[in-house]
Amino acid sequence: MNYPVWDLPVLGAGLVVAIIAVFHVLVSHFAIGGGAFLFLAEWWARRLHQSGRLEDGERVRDFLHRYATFFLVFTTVFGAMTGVGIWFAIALASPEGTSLLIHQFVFAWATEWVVFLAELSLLYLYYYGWKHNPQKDQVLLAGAYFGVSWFSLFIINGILSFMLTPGGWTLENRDLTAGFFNPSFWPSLILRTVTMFLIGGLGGLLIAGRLESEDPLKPRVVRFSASFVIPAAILVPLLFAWYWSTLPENTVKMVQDGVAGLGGGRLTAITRHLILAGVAGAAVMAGVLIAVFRPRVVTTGVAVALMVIVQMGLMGAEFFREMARKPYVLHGTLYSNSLWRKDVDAGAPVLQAPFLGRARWHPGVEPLSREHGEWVFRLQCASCHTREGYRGILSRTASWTPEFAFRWFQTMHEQGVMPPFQGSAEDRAALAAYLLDLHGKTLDGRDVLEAARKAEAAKAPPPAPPPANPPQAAADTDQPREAQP
Amino acid sequence: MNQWTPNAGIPLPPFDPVGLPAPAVVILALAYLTFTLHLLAVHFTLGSVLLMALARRQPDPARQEIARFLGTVAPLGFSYLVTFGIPPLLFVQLLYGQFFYASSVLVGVFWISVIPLLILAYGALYAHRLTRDRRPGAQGLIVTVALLGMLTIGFIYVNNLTLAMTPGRWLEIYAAHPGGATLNLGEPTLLPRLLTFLGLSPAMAGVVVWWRGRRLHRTPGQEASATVMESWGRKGIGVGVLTWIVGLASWVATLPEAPRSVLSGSGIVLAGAVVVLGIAAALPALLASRGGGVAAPVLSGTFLALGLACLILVRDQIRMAYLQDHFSLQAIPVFPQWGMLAIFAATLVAGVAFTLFWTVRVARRAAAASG
Repeated sequence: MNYPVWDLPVLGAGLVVAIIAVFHVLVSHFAIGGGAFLFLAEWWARRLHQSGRLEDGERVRDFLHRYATFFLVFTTVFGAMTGVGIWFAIALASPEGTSLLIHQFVFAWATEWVVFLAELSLLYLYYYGWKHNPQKDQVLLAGAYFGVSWFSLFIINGILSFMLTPGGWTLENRDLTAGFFNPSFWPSLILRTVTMFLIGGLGGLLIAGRLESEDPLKPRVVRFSASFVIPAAILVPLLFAWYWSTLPENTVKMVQDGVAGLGGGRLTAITRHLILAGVAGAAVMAGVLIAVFRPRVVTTGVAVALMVIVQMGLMGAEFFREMARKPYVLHGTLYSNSLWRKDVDAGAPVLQAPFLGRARWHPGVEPLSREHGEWVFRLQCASCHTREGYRGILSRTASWTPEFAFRWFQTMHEQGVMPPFQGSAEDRAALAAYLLDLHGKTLDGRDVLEAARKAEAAKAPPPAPPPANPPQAAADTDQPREAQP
Repeated sequence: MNQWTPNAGIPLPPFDPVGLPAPAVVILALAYLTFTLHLLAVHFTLGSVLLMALARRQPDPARQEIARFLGTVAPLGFSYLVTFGIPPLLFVQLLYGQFFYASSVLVGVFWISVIPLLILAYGALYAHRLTRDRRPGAQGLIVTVALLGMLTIGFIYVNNLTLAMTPGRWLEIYAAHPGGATLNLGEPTLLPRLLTFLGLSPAMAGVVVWWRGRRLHRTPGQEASATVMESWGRKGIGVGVLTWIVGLASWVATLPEAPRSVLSGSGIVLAGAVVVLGIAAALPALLASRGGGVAAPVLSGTFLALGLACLILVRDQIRMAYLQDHFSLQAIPVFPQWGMLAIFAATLVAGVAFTLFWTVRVARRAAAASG
């Protein structure tokens, strides 16, 4: 617990990251897939010119100029800025995790920056040289843009996939190659590459939607765009199966449990997001197939709707990827609340020692007071949970009793989605009291300790003897009451 | 009853366990280089928007031409401003992450608001460029949004970076505002620092406008516009350098004793160089005659760039003086990644060469097309 936790009301740091990331994923994939679209469409226009169909070639280029204007503004203003935004947001949500990524991969990131700089410059040379560049140069510039932008994906993919499947990398060996070319690197890269073709094609439909329905160019542009979308939509599920085979065991189990619960009407969040991605993909496939046979139905509204559906699908996929890491931010190394796995493996000094004695970021509180519980919540829980908003703790604790809460904290990590609790029985009691206090129940940590003691005494066969020590003394041992002989 | 009190007066995070991937001196060199490029782009873009806002208010064709020229280049400047801002931010997190992350969280709401402000300001510059002929009435508002957005971002940056250097305040601020809805407004160096790091903006844009004016002299029929452009560019340089020196003096005056002592020791040469180079940049603008080649604006621009580079070195010395009780770069463990550093260097050389090749090629085509 080395850094302060951004205790942002209602939204929580996690949702801030998600809002920026979901939007960025759409734009950044479009920035690459759209590059492929520009390249192939420029090539198409050039072939039309070379075959003497000058008017057709010019019309394709007119269409391309509209596409390129939209592409330039959309990808540089929203794509580049939200890319920086993710970096800002993850540093606020998980300073420790961001620091680790940067220290491990700084030169990979710096290399990606060089590539991005080239990508940006090539796009400007392509767009601002529109009037003067010969068509061959435009084809080459668009192709070069696509090549370097895909290389930036190659680099970022290594870092992103590392977070979920670090492979042979450990904190001790700091093996850059093992971490970068981790088990999910290739399936993730190819899955993203195919997805970006899909989005590039949808960008084409967006501009085609603005063409008059009687325009003879419209069916050709719609079918050209669909040729990006349909193969990609077919390949995505197959590639996902490959990606799936590389995921950590607990992630697979989380989804399997979610699917198994379908019959009983229960659905885990991770399963919901996976289903959302699948349904969105199928809907886009269906929509684009209709467009191939009835190109004139493609209006701006229809194209925007398809883009929104893809955005929903990407949201599902990205939430799935984020949740698949639970309870870690870096799988197997760093928990999402900045607790190091190595400290958990060390056992008692971290898991049972008084938490606020070890935590750095609190102003000093009276033990078992409301403030004690509030600071435990802030420093251990608030990186994922808000009080009443996103992943709100109030809705999750509505039926809790003091004794249940006290016991739950000790075992919550066993389900595989929460980190282990750090701290003593006093810390658990203070946190339980704080959460119950949020529900309007007036009690403090001492009351929770007493309730837990009574509950333990009542269920113990034969009846437990009266405590040798008062509850406060029991708490001072750092051992929960039920764990004592 | 005992209280849980923090286990140290200052909750300073430890070094990252991964350590540094190269000796600190290598990373510092990269940080200085890329931060200089970033600041050049910042000054150019902010100055362009400022001069554009002033020029567009005047109806004569020459000033409208200045506004049009700056309105065309400002979005490109903004794009490179952000792109060149990435590596210094990367390297500052590498070297001073334990300070930077902590202070960022403390002002988290404002820090994350930099992103929508960036989108707003950048989007406004494109909106201006794409709609200036169709909707002239809205342009004043659009340019004002871009200008205020950029200034606000600068103000938030200065808040965060000054807080990163004063860890003694952290705990009190965090206890009062755990949601990060606060700024470091109690910091006395705030506004002087902002003036020091943005004051040169009119000068940097002035160099480009002056250069453009000199080029325009060669185009028949454009002499009037060229003369006004030259005049605006030179005035921009004069005003910018003056603001910069005033900012620098007020920054030094408000520094606490320990960081200020840097300027009476090893930092005196660099600080002196900043002032001398600033004055040297202003001299060609004051003394050069109208017309002529582009050597004079290029000379001014070169002096300004060197002055900024020296300012960045002084700034880092001052930061180290602020942090000397808590931190030493030499104490961070180094686990070199020479192979990855070589890949980065090779990509940098190849990327710059490839981009330059295409830039020259496209520029030649454009020059040939325009006769």
